[in-house]
Amino acid sequence: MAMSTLDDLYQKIFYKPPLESTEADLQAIVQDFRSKRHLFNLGDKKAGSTKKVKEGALSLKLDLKL
Amino acid sequence: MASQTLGLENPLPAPPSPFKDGVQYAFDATTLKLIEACEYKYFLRTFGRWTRKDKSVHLRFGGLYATALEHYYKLVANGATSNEALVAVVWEALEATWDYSCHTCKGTGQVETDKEEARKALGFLGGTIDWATTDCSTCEGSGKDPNGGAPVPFDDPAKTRENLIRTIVWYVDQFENEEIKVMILANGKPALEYSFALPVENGVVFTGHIDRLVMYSDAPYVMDQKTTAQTIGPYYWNQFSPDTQMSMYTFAGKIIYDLPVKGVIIDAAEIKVGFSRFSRGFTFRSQGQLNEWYDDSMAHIENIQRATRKGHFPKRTTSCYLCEFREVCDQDPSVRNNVLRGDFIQGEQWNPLKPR
Repeated sequence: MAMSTLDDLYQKIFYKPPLESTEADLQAIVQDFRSKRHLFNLGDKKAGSTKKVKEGALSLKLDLKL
Repeated sequence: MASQTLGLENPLPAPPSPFKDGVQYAFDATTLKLIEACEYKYFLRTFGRWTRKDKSVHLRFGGLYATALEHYYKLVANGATSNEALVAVVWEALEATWDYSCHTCKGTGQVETDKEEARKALGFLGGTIDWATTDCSTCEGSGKDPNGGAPVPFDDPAKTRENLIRTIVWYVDQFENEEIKVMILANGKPALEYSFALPVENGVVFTGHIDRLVMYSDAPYVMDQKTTAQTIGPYYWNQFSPDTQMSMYTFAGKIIYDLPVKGVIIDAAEIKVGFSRFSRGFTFRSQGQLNEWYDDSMAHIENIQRATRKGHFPKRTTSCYLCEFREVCDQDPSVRNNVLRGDFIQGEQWNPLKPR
């Protein structure tokens, strides 16, 4: 979903009366949250997940140094 | 895994008050924990109705989250798909966290009129009217916000409305394909949202609310949801054994369902500003441990009933260190009410007999 459309969706879902949200809006927000969870990769205990986060943090640190 | 068929529905109507002749006879885990910790704390919470201002947000968030998951499991048990149930409870949570009331009159539809204006309007000149109310001009007396309302504020960086929805969605995402099955009662209803009132001895009633009764590895367990801001590790899980709430759930589950309930499965959600993550823990109770817990609880209840009759609630100062009321008790008794009014709010009296 395009960023502006996503921003509009968040505005509508979280800052407008719930009665204004359609089922399609709710489906879209649920899907968006589901997809974000995998970006964090923190919700499960799969081997390596912590390592990935640590690696991510390390590269961010290195970028900041540069 | 096959569902098991059980024989009971909630058998007892909830009595209106947990007190008889001014003395409490109905106890849930929250009240038992209070009297285990300190009788003066029980006095402040139960008779004073004081709760820390910043604590209410965590209770509200936890309650909304638990309700959403209970309803999710109920919808699934009644034939909805996981996604249908999830969308339904997300909408329900959004609705529950939206305030439709007018912010000017706080939903009453009335505002206090300026005294002088009221006197003039009513033809009095220095008469006996001290105040008057009139229809709120913002909502024209309806009590509803003409702009449709606003999100309920949570006043916590992690426990927000958006993070509530995120946590519900991510919980389902993680556990929707699990093998744990909710038990089905003899009437075909799932063993969910069971508010119990269990008479024991000496006129005492144990009360509580079991989220779910489930089968896991061919053994029955009570299942409970928790939310926390702290990192979930051994230190977090240690708080549940020994623990009155988990002992009471196991005790009540065994008696109500007449099943060899092994303990409680706890699904804990760690809520941070940028993410939510989940861990599942088990806490077991042997029959010997439950017998001991029961005897201890009855002794605590006898003590608090005696303290109530005498009107004297001694402080247990070994519990003060992490107590929310430490700063109150640290003051001279004559100024304690000032401290309470500053940092605490007075709400409804806690009623263990109120079904959720």
